[in-house]
Amino acid sequence: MAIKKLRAIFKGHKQQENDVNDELGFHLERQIESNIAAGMSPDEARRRALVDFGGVQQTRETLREVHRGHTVESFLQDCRYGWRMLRKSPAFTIIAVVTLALGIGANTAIFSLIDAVAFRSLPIPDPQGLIIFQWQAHHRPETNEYRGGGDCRSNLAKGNGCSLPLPFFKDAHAQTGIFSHLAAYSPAQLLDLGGNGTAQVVRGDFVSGDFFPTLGIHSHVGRLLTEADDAPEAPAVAVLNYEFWQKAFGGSLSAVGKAVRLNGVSFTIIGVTEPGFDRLTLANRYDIWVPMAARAVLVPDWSAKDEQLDHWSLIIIGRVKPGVPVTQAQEAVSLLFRNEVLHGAKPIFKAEHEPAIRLAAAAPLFAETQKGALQPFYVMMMCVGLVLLIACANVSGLLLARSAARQREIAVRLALGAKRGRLIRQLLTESLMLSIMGGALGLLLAVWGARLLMVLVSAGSFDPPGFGPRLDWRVLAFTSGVALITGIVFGLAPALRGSDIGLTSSLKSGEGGLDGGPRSRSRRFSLGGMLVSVQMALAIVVLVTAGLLVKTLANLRHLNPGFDTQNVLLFSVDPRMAGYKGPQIDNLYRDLQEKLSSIPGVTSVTYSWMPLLSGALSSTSFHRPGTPPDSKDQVDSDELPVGPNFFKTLGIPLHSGRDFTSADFATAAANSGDKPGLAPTPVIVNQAFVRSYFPDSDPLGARFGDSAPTAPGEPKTPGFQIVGVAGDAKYNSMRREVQPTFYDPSTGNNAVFELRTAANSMLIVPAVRNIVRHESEDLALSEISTQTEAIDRQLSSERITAQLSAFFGLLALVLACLGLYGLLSYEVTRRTREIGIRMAVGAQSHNVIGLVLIKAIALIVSGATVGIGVALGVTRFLASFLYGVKAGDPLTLVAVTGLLAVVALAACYIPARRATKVDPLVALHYE
Amino acid sequence: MGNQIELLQGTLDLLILKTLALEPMHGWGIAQRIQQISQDVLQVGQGSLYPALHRLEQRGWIGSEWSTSDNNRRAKFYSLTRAGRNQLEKELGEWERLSAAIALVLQQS
Repeated sequence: MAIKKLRAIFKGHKQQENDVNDELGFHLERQIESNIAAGMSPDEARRRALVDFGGVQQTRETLREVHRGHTVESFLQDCRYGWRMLRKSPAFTIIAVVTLALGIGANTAIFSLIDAVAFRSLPIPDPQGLIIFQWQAHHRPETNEYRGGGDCRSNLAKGNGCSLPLPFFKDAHAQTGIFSHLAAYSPAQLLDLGGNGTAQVVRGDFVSGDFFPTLGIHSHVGRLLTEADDAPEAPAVAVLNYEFWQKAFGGSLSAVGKAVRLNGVSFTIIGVTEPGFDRLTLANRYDIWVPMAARAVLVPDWSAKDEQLDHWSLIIIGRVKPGVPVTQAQEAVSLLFRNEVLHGAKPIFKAEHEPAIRLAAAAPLFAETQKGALQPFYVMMMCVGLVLLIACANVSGLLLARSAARQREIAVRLALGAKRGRLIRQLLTESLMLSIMGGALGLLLAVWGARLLMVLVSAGSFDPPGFGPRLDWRVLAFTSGVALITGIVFGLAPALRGSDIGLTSSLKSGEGGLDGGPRSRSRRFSLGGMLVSVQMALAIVVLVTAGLLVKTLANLRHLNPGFDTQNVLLFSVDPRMAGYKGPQIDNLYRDLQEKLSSIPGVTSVTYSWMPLLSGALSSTSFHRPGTPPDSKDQVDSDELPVGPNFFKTLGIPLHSGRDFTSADFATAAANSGDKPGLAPTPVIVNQAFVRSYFPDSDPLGARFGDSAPTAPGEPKTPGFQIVGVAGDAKYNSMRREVQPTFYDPSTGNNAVFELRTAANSMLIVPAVRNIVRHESEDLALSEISTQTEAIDRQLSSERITAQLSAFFGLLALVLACLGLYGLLSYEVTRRTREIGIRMAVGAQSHNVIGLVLIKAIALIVSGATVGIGVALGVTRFLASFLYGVKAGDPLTLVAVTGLLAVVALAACYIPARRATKVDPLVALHYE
Repeated sequence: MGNQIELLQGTLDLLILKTLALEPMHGWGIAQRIQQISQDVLQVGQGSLYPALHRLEQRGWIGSEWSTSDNNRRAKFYSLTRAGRNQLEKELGEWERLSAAIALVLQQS
């Protein structure tokens, strides 16, 4: 029925034209008939009729004009009238606009973040024109080394990726007829920057000479890299990122021309990129760019390998020459590619793998890498969507109550000949005005809210998030769209209902009369009641979502990770960047460990390859202990190289056996060389390891992980021998269950220090810096934080989703209760007379309270029932976000429903109390 | 046909309302009725009749409905609404005052 009504309101243009044609045609026919009746021949009659009739086309045009003028005029009239009505009841208008602003604002804020991550174009000119080389094949490449990551995701198993070898880039680069620009760059590489105050770790990027021209990025000061800089004999130069220049060099112009040390090698800064360009994808910020040729001095061990065809590590981007079809360019480079990978000294692919190069648009592939960052935002989008629906239902309820109050006005207008369609349009115009005002205010809230979100998102992270919400056209379009749809959604039902009035009964009795059209009365209440139930149901869904996410965060926070996380300071020192090698590294660490232990307040010092709960993980596989070395029965274990005193410092209990001795470290160092020693490396395993691999035997002294000799006469590798069993401790993440793990003596590796302090561990940072600086000017401290901060950082996504969903859950609860309160107040006002009569004939106040409460309870119960059902369905999609709690967790459901019921009943209390205060005399004189 | 008079703006509206006060009618019928009663002095062309009808309809003074005409064809019938009846009375009053005033002026000279 509603649809038919709607169609009548927005009657199609076509329909109107047809009506006009029919009407004019009928007129003409009647004229012809009348002419015939007057004695003319049929032909003559038709001719005369047409002449008399005059310009039909002109009349049509005039009629069209009449209708068009009318539409505009009546729209303006509706607006003026609507504005007057809204101004007449400012309380209603303010409540409705604020409610809508909260709903629309929350949606806009979340959308602006999604927009920033997913839809914002690359920060370069003409981003569509940028192409990226993607290799494709039916098989994974037989490379010696494949380094993926960076700005483009590789999927070796599926046979595609973006990392390619340097020789291929050089050949493609020589194809000057196809590409106007072609550049290669490596994934970001941590470098040690010295010669500018305290040494620090920066994110560097090796780029070929044409990198900046390919992107179309210009210099802010100085100049950027050119092809001439990317030559082996060229002077060592570097380009700074604008933001890094601001941060590390204070934006000083004297930075250009300054000599700094990267990994101990002198480089001259030649320029700064223009502001706004600091990365191509969110995960990969660059502080400094150096020419590809500089790899020879910065990372000599790679550079030699990278000249080979079986080391794939470069991303190739470019722009095709204008006029050259992409397919043609693609065929040309594919041919080149096939030649190299099929017919090299060591073929990477076989012919049947059909290797090829696809020249893909770079932007979508770059965007692909940051999809994961969006997951929590989608959950938030669902929450705010529901909040908006609740806001709609709320305003809808308000309008409904108001349209009841306006019954007489509407009835009078109907009586005066106003058409229903026109009235509905009028009421819809009013609700659209509300939603547009709500949208405008919501936009302001969103700007502020999005900033708040950014503070939340970036709290405690080393790296700023790299995107900021901005009001671009997509956000504005989204908000306007949401506001318009909202206006129609909440306005339609009350408008249809409001204009559907029995004329005489409404005119005779005002609102609130006992005799006033029982049919429309009961129906109106059921629509209002339905709106409240819907709000309750939606609020339950949002609250259950929030409850599950909050519980997940609490579970993860209160989880015992198996070691003492309090008062532990973490920081990273990577001596390899400063030129240390092998045994030098071990000596440095041992030396640092000793000096750091002497800082007052430090109780114990150790180091390990990575700190615990940092996200980093190393694991290894070996034949199952107890099977022969060539057994196919392979098992996995996590592995963490640690320094002396690791277990004591972190508070991981040793259940049996002993801690590492210096002899153990010597054995490990001997085994790490090219020719392993004969003694097995001593390791300490955790209890999970014992449970999995030595369930029935004593693990102490047991050996595992040895391998058969690779050639006859060669000694077999000795593997590991268990010297101790430690308690289970989480390794990389709170979410991951403790796996079988062995700890081996760290040697030749970079490492992160762990310092246990007696009190606030951040206080000793200056002392730590001092000691490290004394050791060497080129040693950079990085990633300084406490263990608890590291855990918080790891849980940041959980924290944000939990905090936001809790906030939106609260908002939903408040809105739903306002809706309930509003409806019941209206109900009490409407029934004032009835209640008065009841009290006059002896009803007690508790009877009256019961009368009101029963209605409320019915609404709450029906809403809650539906809400729980929907929540059970919806939260199943949350499973991947949850930890230690099931999607349909009964406790959460009960708690949320209980909370909602209590708050909702509280919202009923005031109207119910007011009902008992009704004075029978006043009520009976109410009319 | 030489004795026809061009209708004043607004006068046609009044005539239409008056005609429809008797019974619902389609456009052609209204034109015929006005022509007959005025003894062929007032001829209403479709070029002014239909725009006037549509304007009146939009002001809510007349309503319309498609139904079958006396010769069994679909035609759009117009009828006076309540608001239209009020308007007719108002305009009649105004017309009488206007024509009386004009008559007075003309008699004077």
